[in-house]
Amino acid sequence: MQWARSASSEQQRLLWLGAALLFTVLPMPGSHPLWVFLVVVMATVWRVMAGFRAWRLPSSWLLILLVVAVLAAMVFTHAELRSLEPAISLLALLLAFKFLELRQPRDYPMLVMIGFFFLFAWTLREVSLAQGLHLVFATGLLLLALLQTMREAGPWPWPELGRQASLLFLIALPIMLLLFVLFPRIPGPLWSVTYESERRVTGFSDEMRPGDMASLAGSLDVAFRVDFENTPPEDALLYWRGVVLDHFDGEAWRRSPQATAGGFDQGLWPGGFDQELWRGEAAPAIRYEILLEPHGYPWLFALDVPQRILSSGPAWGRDRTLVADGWVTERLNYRLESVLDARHGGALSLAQRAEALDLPAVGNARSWALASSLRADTGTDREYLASLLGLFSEDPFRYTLNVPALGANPVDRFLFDTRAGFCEHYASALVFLLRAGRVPARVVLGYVGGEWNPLTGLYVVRQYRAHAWVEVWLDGRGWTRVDPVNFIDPSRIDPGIAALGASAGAGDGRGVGRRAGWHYRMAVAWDTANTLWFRHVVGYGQANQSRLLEWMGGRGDQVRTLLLLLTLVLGILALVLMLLSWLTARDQVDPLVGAWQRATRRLARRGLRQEPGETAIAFARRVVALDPDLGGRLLPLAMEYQRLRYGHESLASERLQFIREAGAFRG
Amino acid sequence: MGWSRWLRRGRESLRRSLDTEVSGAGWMEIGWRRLFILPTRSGWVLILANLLLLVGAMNFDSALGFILGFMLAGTLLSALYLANRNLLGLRLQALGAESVGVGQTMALEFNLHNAAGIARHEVRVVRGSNRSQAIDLRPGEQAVVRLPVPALRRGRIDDYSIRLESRYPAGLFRSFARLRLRQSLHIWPEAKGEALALWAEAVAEPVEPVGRAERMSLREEDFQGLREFRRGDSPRHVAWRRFAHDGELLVKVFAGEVPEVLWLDWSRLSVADSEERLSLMCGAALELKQRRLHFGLSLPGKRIDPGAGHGHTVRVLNALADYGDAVGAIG
Repeated sequence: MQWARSASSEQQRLLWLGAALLFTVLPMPGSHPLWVFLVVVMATVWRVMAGFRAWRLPSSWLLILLVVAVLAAMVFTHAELRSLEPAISLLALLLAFKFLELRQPRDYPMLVMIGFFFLFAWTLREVSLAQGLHLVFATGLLLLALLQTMREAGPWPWPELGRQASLLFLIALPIMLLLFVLFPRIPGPLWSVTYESERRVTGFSDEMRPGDMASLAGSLDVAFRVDFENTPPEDALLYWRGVVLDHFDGEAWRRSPQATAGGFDQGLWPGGFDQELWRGEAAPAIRYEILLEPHGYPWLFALDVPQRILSSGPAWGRDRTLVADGWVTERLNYRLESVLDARHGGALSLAQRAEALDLPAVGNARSWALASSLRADTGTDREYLASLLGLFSEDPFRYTLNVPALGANPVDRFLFDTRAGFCEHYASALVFLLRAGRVPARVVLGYVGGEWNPLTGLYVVRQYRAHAWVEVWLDGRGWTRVDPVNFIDPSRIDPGIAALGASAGAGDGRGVGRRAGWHYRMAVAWDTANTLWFRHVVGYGQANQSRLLEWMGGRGDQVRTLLLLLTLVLGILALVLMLLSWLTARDQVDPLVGAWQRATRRLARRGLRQEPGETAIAFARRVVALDPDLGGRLLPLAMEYQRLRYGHESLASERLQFIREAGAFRG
Repeated sequence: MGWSRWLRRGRESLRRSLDTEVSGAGWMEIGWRRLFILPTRSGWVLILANLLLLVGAMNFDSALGFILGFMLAGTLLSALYLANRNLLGLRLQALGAESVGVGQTMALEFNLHNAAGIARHEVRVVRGSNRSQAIDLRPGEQAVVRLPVPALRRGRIDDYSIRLESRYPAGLFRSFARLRLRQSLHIWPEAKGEALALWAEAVAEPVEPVGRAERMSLREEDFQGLREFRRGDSPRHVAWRRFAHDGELLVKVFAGEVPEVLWLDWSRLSVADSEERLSLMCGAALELKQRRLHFGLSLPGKRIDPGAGHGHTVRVLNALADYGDAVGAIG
């Protein structure tokens, strides 16, 4: 940095601003068009080089031309101009062009301000821990650049910069924390702004076309985390129910048209949701909290069949699923009570039974034939189900993610031609055969399993655990979960999936990977930090504040109490700071002064007093005139006093010597 | 028209109430009540940005947006505190200024003393659009700052106000103390160049003061006596023999000699405009001083006996500045 140190004030300012700017836009590539980032980098380099190597800056007409070109490119690059991404790109370009035409000192805060707006737009897009760290450091760097550029005498030199910056930030930090904790959060937007992020949130849709889920198989993205109140159930029982698909059009499974049309009715759930689920003594109610990542759909996940909703947020949807009151675009935490192995009495109404048996009459003819022949051989629904599951275990059905496209009549193609597929294919075929044999059945989408994180005590459910299974209506037991994948002979599971499972734990939620090694521990630690971040920072809101107030024993209007508390605490802080500045800014009593005053106080008994405004030497001269002997001893002391106190250099040893001599002075 | 004058008067009285009167030579300390803080233009920009960020964070209920907004708010408040602390307890002493003529630059001098244990940064003295250099003061350090201001109008100034100001730490806030200082400053009339020649033209009865001493004929018979030597006397008139005798430096005085002492006499000038007269007298005085000649001043109601040298000239010029109890003005 030798060259940077020898740079002029102006050049140093450019370096600071340029560095802060580049760090601010650093996370752009990858999610935004690369050319935007490159334009920002080039503009920054151009401006900095203009300061260092006297490169010519663009003339104003060239600048206008550039802006027009860039805006045109924006229109071409971003498909949806009303979404958040073009706004972020635009802010980045604004930042770049403002920097390029930076001319006078009053432009600096303007530039920093645009930087803050850019960071703010970015927070609407992403709230991960990494993003949080970037936000804090970028904000700090922008503020540092401001501190450096706004000083008239030029940027602070290095050691002094450290002192000034730490002084500034050390005072700012407690204020920031206080504001963050106590500033009242108002639920709901002040006004609604709809924006859409082009970012793909991972998750599945409410349409299952066998083969779709393969794209999730490799994804390590977190779907949600779960905090069990008591002992969590064993892993094999962790079926996270999400969407129920009960409508088949011959190619794809969908939610029934009534469900998608809005207005969530009971669906295929008999009796009503408020009805208590019967449960065996071995299956206690399980209470837990789900920390859901945004996935862009309205449905929520629950462990098996949810029994009770314990917090605000979720509402009952069709078929005893859960829905949010809108698209889940923010992180959402909610508490539930579930019952494993639930049964319930009641019966399907005629309409519900008809819907659960509905199949298109045309297509998949061979499957229809298979169903009717099997049905003829078996008596009860249960026997029929068993014979179907036996089919999957005995016939050479393979489990693999490498599946050719099935085209028309997908059930026929799967059952008789390819005989290879993964959960979706099996679930789809099983429900088809059940319905064809007059047994009510439906497809359920969700996740299965989870990883225990010992540091946070939470289960992490990742996207690769996405799964499809079957619910079948058995008389006397109600809707019963059947997972056809469990019936496939393990020897026929594609070794490729096993390998995937070993490396990433992927593969239909079934993969069992060995979890060891430092990178796994790193991943766990990072996940822990992320979880804490989401729970306590990103998720910090009104609920936490009301809990805080409850803990402090407050009641009544929350916003008013918080504002009062905030004012009080900030007021105390202000008083402390005032006291501090009074202590540091007032005259510090120099020990020299004290020593001199003690020495001359002894003369006061004789009526010799140093007048205000009279220097020590002048006083000593006056004493000489009255009492030459006394004055003769006082004068050297006075001269030494004045030299030490007002002279340019005074050694600590000399000051000590003076204090000693003054102490020995006798009037 | 009426209300603008009323507004001006209100502003003036507000300004005076904010000023703190200080006696000429004393030290004064900047206390809490003298210290004010206002955001600078850049400060307003960032305050506005901060408000926008917080409203945005509230609207989107974005925790990270709040972090950003509160980081900025915390830094602004921290800067506010540091700006306040930077001037608090600082001591100032007005040292006055060398008198100058109208149109020249007067350098007001101030002694700043940082008696505290903390360093002070970027402190300056400001008056209107005129500013001194910004200086840093280490703990215990004293330093003199000079505030150059244009001298606008002839006359005497009994008190004037200044601001002690700093934009430390980040240029976002301007902390300042308005101080009214009781201290006499004199602004001399604008000195006319070639004033003696002009003076010669301007006086009612032409005189030729220039070089008179050199052209004088020295006739022994006109000798009248001896008087004490004064600076500016020609060495040719010194009674050297007497000096050699008893070491007393005396000068011979001749009868009929036009006195070497010149009078800058107001009443002898025929120029109508009084400022013009004062300018001429001022220029003449400065020129006479440069030629080391004796001169006295005679103004209506004021008379300064002949003399020479810097102190005398300043006395004369200050008298010219004061003429008619004029109130001076600095920019």
